[in-house]
Amino acid sequence: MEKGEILSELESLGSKFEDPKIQRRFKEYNKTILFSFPDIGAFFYMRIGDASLDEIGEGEVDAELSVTMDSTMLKAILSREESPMAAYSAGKLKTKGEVPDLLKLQKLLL
Amino acid sequence: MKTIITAPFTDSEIDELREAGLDIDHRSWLNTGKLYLGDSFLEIIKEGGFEVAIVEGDEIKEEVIENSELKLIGCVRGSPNNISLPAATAKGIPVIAAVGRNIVAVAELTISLMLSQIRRIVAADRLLRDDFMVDDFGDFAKLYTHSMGQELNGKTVGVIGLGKIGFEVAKRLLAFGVDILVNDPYAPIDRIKEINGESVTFEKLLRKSDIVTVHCAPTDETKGLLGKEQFSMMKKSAIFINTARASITDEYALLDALKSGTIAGAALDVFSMEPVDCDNIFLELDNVTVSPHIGGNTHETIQRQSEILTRNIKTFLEGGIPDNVLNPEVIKMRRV
Repeated sequence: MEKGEILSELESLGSKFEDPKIQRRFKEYNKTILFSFPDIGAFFYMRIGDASLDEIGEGEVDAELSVTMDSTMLKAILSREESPMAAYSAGKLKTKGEVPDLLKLQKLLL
Repeated sequence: MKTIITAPFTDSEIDELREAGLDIDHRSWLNTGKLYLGDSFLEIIKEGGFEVAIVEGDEIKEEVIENSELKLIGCVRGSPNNISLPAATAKGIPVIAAVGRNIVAVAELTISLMLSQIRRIVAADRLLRDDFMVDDFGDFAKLYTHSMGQELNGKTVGVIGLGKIGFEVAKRLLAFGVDILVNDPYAPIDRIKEINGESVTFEKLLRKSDIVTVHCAPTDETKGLLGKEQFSMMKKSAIFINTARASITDEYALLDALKSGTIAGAALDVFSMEPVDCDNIFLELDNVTVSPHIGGNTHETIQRQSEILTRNIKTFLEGGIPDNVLNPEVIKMRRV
């Protein structure tokens, strides 16, 4: 995947915050998620502020949760061809962070 | 040996292990609410100077194994993908698992879900909890119509996968007077005969069964085994049960099949997104019974896993080869 395509895929997650359930889950949640894509050597970050997607950008920043996967895996997850849990179990998606943040991320990605 | 147990474990088996010489720190995740992923368990192991670790879902992968002094790893799951077996084997650490701990529990839940779905137990309960009021006999008629089910007796049940759990499910089904169809390319004929089953092709099982229940292992071969095409082969009145693994079905194809009436209903214990909570997409459907991966969640499973692990650890301490060790070669190598 090209960087622009990844950015667009991540931006599309913004609409998920219109879902009342997602709003409830991310209420008063103010954290940054860093996405790392080794296959294209790129980093993107997502700042979530109290149930809204505040900012998405390219670059490596300090984050509470970091997620590493190939860009093709992101596409597979967002197109529902692969589940985040299955990707994690298979070692195709790696994370660093607290378990509650991972659970929230899972809700956002599916 | 200093031992940390983060899995649920019975007091009597902990006492037995203490008598065998282990210095045990028991912190069941059911009490702490903690799950250690990545390398986060390493700090706990190093701080406590633990040489034995018994876990359920906590990850003990390469970074933890390589940077700790663990001598023995135990997991109360049957096939633990949270432990790196290659890394443990490379370092000569035996890994013990509680194979078969939940066979009865999952088999019984499968039967429960089958009955719940066919007798519309959860659907009736849901209607009542939704403030359904009976003010005249017409309301009662509506309630009775809504909750009218079917009998299991005389139905055809298709069992996909006749391993240990599938076999136990089939054995219990015999008591209900059902016809059993089996699809399992690896099941011995004697095993199928024992449950009065008929070995059929996958397609025939789907087309002929009133209830389809999945019990195969999650492998590359079974990934996405049931998708849109397979659900469309099933009877419109069919009920689908999955207490095995979510990866065996295309979950979105199943959701569509249930929404569109391609099949009549489902009872599901496993999902692509777990832990399950109120956001589960199948909860929106009245024709589905959802349970949050509780197949093995019984007191007896905890008792069984404690007994299996204790027996195996004691054998290890006595210098023998535990019967549930996943990498016996490391123990055999020590003897050479």
